[in-house]
Amino acid sequence: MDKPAVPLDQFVLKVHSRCDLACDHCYVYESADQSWRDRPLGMPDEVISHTAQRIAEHAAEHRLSAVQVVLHGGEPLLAGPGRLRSIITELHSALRGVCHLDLRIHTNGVRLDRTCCELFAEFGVKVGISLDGDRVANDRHRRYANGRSSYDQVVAAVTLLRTRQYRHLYAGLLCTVDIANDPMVVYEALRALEPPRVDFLLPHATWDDPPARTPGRESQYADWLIAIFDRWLADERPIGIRTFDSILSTLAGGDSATEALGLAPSSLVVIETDGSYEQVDSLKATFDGAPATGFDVFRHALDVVARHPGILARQQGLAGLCQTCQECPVVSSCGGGLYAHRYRSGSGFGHPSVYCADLLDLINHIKRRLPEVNTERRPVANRDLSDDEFGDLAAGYGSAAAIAKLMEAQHILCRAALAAIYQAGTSTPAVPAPVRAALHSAWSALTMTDRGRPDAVDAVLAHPYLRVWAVRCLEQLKGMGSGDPADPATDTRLAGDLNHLGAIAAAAAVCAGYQVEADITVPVLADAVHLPTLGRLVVSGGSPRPECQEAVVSIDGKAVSIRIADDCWEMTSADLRSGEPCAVTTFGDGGSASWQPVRVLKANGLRVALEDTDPYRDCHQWPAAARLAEAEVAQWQRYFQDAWREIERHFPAYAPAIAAGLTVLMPMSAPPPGRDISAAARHAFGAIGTALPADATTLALLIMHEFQHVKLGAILDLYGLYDPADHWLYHAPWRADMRPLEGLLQGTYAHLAVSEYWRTRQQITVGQEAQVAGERFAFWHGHTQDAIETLAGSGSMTPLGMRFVQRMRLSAQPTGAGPAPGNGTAG
Amino acid sequence: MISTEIRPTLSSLLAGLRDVPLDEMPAVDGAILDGAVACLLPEFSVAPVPVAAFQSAI
Repeated sequence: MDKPAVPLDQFVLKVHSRCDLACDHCYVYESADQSWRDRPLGMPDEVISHTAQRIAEHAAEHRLSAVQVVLHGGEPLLAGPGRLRSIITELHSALRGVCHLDLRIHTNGVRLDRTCCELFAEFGVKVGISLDGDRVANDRHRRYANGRSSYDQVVAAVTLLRTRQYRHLYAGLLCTVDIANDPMVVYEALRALEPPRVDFLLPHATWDDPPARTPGRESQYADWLIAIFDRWLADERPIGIRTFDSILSTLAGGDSATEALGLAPSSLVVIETDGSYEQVDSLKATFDGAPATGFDVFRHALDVVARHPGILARQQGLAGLCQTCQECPVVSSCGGGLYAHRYRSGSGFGHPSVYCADLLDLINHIKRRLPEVNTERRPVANRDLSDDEFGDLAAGYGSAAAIAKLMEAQHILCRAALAAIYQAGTSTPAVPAPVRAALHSAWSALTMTDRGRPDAVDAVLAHPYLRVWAVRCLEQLKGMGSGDPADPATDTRLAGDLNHLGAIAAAAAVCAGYQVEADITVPVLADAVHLPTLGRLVVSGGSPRPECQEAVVSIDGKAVSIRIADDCWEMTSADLRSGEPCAVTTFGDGGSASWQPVRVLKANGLRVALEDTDPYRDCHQWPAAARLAEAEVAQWQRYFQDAWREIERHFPAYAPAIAAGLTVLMPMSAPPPGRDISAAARHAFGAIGTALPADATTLALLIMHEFQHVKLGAILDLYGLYDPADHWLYHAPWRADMRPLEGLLQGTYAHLAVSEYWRTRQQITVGQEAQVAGERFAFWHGHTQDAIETLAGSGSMTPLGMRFVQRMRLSAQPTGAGPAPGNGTAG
Repeated sequence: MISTEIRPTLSSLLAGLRDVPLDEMPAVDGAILDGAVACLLPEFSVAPVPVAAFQSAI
């Protein structure tokens, strides 16, 4: 009995049924199926609109989060940019608010020019190109009808895709294997073009029409691929090769990335230029009419197609294979090979692949070399926390080296988030086109600086509130991807947030002293242009400003000019880097502006930004303070210097981690009288928010307390200490409300330091002050111990989490005595 | 039974992103990028592309 139909989520649109090349190995024109002869050249409007609607209704019906559409042919670029725009627009329009659209085009490349690339960049269409290797290999088959080579045009197309402007569209290269070609020459030629991914395709063949081989050599295709695999491995796998990556993945129990391997069900359907639904293209190699379903977009929903026996046959996994394959030891990697390659007239597809011997040899070879694959991965152990470092952190402390490792992980996460924002932001159709264009410009500027001065980019990315911004962007993009309809307010907020990537790029370029060729668009937030880590330009007067504004930043290496409408201000890059107030030269309508640098607190070699400018800093549990006056800054400086002296002198076990990881103090609004306010934020590693307390000693306590949260947040990013599925609430002795497990863990870890603080204060003070400290120690210490036991008994700590709790338990000894009132800090 | 080993949840993913220049990040395997970003925002997918991809495209 067949398994139920799998929803279809991959659609190959034959947007043009003819090709401008006459490759003699093409399965569309040179194979058994000749149905192309009766198709329209291009896809008519009504076919496009029906296709888009069919896909949208199918995606909605099955709640698909994403579909992939491949524009294919023939040669899809023969449709022309105008026609392609109509098709792409129609698809986006139909799927907007339904699901994510992953749109690709597969082309021979000979017509790919800047006009095409601009179109694809506008809509985030990824481009795959067919190229069989070097000139000799490519010209063996891939020629024009008059015999002329296509090689130069194809390489020119790939070169265009490799330019900085279009690099993000470059999906990879498809190479059809010909064992007459030298595998090393082919590999080197393809590698030289820096493709993100290469796929080697076995030429289509069946048991009726087997592949060309030297008599007596049954696995020549495996030999050819193995030669490349070994070289690729020796080169430390410099590019993705889909065939090899899929085998490595399936050998490890993962998925295949190609229908040619693995047991995953096929979820693909082809839509021809006349609106006919067809099964997978490669069936054209079997017999005339093989791909036909008898269904079309005008009369049939995709659910009907999904139940077609031919589609179902490729969704049966192991059960759908012949007995020989089912008993084969490599079947989970091979999956029986490409469906079409199993065909024999008279008995159909119930056979092993005609490439069975090749697949077996290749997979076994890769299996034998698997240990080397694993050992050749870059070692990570020395970047992970050692047992001692982990234990030291769990005890509440942490060395500078341990903090450096946590910071590096944060840094990589931020870079990954930036790439994700760029990728999702530029490929999500609901993001307005001007915002996507601005994202491209910002990304170009940022990556250029990263290439030459990665330290300058790193300095900006290390800013704690960058991750806060990144998460805010990702949340909005995720909402769009899941189909939530956009509204004007959403668009405005998203535009402002995404444009902040320009501010990040500008700040990095200023830090590097670089010139940026193109202008960068940045948001104007609350009448200020922000350059993260450096400060903000506060503007007033001049041209009337709408609520949502953009500024344009030009950076020539020495000077930075910022334009808003007709107003323009200029500063020197050196002044911006100085951290001091600087002269602002005004041009245009005379709107005034002042530069507010981020000021720095200093104490015995420690430098911490007093961050009262960043637009994303207001993410703590208490409102951020407005820009501080100079007198207030002076007071912060005095308190900070004294607080740090206290921490270094009396809490030496806590000082190294704070010195290594505390980068920002964020002033918060004044609390009610008699209360101290401080907070860390889960996504702001290195930052502590606090209102200035009554004295430096209290500031030391607040810093110690909050930095515990900072450390634990970074640890939790890397290690699973508790079961995230635990949704119980737990009693936290210091709070009236019940807390989730992570909240209890955070509070307990923070109060380890608070207990230590009061224990030490009891020892170093006398009289009434010592008595109060003793009472507070007893209070916090008792609560901390109780909370540790609650964590230990929760049943939801992982083994590593239990180890963490055990170290906290040891650190919390010895005990004190006597209840006392709380110290008022958040926790 | 408490484990005596530190088993990082994210480190192997981060290893795949370490030392990768920013402009090459988008070309990194989507699963790796998604895994890292999921640490910041669970279930975010950079490019939730269906698997078992069409062979005559890439």
